[in-house]
Amino acid sequence: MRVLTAQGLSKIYNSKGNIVCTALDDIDLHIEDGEFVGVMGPSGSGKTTLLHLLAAMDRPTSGRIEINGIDPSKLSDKKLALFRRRELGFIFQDFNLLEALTIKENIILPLVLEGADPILIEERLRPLAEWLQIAPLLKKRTYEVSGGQKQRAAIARALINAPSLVLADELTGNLDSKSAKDVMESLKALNERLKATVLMVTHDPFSASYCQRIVFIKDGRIFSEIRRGSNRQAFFQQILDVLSVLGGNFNDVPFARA
Amino acid sequence: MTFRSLALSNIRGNWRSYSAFFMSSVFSVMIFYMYAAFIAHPDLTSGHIIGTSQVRQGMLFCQYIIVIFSFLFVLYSNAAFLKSRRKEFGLLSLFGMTRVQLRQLIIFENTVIAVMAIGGGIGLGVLFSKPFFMALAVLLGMSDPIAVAVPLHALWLTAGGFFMLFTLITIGTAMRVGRAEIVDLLMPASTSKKETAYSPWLALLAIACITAAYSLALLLNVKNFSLLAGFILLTAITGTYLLFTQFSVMLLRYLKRNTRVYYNRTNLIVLAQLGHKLKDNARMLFMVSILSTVILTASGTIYMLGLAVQLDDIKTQYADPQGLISLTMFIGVFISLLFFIASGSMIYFKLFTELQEDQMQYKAITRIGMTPSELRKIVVTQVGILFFAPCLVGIVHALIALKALNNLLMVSNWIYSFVIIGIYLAMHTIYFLVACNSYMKSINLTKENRE
Repeated sequence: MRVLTAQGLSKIYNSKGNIVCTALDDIDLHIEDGEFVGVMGPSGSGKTTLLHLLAAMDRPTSGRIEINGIDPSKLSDKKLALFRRRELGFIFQDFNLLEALTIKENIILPLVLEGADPILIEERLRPLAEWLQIAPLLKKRTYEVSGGQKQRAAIARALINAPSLVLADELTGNLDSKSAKDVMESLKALNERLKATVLMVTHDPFSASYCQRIVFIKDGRIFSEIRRGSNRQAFFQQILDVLSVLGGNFNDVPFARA
Repeated sequence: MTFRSLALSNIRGNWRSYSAFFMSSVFSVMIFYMYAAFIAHPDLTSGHIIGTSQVRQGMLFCQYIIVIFSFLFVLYSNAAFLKSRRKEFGLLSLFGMTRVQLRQLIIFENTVIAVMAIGGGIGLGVLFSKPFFMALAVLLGMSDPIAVAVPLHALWLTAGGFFMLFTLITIGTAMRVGRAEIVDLLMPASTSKKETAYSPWLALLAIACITAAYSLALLLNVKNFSLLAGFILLTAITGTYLLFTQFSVMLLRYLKRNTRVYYNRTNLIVLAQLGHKLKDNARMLFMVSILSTVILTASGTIYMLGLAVQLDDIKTQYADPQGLISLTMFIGVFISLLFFIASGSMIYFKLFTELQEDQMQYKAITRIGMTPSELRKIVVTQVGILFFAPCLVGIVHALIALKALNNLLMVSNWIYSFVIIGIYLAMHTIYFLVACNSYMKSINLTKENRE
């Protein structure tokens, strides 16, 4: 089954001085149920713009997006908020956790806002917390746990509602390499176990090597696409090869989005 | 860019955080000037209007209250203002601004604000002298309106007094700001917020204190008044303080334990954020509830005293009982109004000093999917609790106090008390609506802001 269909997606920014900037140009992207897809590209290639369009944070200049049969651009503000809550799961570089809440409360927030029964909430929470190895941390506050633990809590929050599509934005960008590995392995395990569909934007080849398929974009257009075989190491090498052809600056630290 | 233009563009760019401090300074200056102009009015000093010495003493007493009030009010708003700018000072130091330069910046900014506030306050004071004097003339039952004058004495007193006050505050701030470590300035204040601790015994003591104060107040009579009054006041204040610092924490804990309530949609966010901020808010809520009590009790008392005076033989002691009553009434109304604006402003400052932090939290929730109406509900509930919890406590306190006064003076006028409470509630609600509205606007989670 197809979860995401994006056809002829373009985004053109018009700044005040009449400078037209084409961030995305005629992008086609399809994601099947249960896929783990990465989007890579040098800084300024339009990968973040693409994510914003797919996350319904911004509207495309032209083109069509359909997630689970729904076109988010046709929804009212309220319906859009509910759509994001029910159909999408988000994992951000800056974790996006609320510091007034405990880890547990942060994770269950989407279900609580839906008015789910407390018993059902507990049932959904327990396996996720076990798999992500954050069960002992549930009562802690966000500032009491490490970055990797925060990001795993954010993954749990993104998945607790069993969304159609999980969107991850540079989720290892704020983490050290050990935490990044843990987080990516957790995400991959959940993708396999729960058949969760994940689309991840990243500029880090190591994180990207956990994906099944990677779409490379350059200057707002799709450049190439590679699929992973059985070996992650080989895939990692393959990614590096494409990146060297792709060129551009990959050493940039993306802006932390507050 | 010169140093001075940096300071000026700072003020222009940060107008929202400056404006609350600026407005409250202007307000304090205006009140002070109007009152000083009234006291120094030629008609009044020459004994034309009400020449008795008691009246004069009453007016001077009122002036002292206003002086203390202005001082505390400006001090408080300055502290709130500085707190909202910690990060900015941290950044400036990080980029290599020396302490001396930072102090210079603060001194320059404060001088600009002080001069503008004093000028604006006196200007508004002169402008509003006319309606103020007219209202006074009505209250004092005078046939001839009081001529509007601009007494130089009052002008100098106001300008000089506030200039000194601002200088003191500026020196204090400049000393303090230079000393903090950059890391402490840059870190959001919330990282150190541990979950608020409470003691169940102290929470129970809060209830015990308030119950004791209430029952003793209802037992008051002329004989035991001098014995009990001080004690009642003390227990009531202690009880109220513990109510907000201890009992409230316990109540929230209890509510959070009940998952049916706590996990019910937006309740989770409302209750969690309330608990998160309670430590900072408790003292403010306590002060506002005490101010509310004073406002309501004072306004109620004055009227009842008036009734009692008419009944009593005080007539024989004073030459002009009606004048005395009117003047007391005027002072009561004036001070009540002052306290009302002060209590409202305290809540307002609290809201806006935490705005940046709150904005980030609301943005975070919106990103994962929160409808505009849910957001509105959360904000209205939170701001509503800040405004109405102390108001409610104040009303209950005042009702008990007025009941005690009824017993004491053996006059009863509940209708009047309820009218006062009604007016107070209405004014408070208007304040709440204005604050809530401008808060919603400042959060400003428009589409461009969301990501």
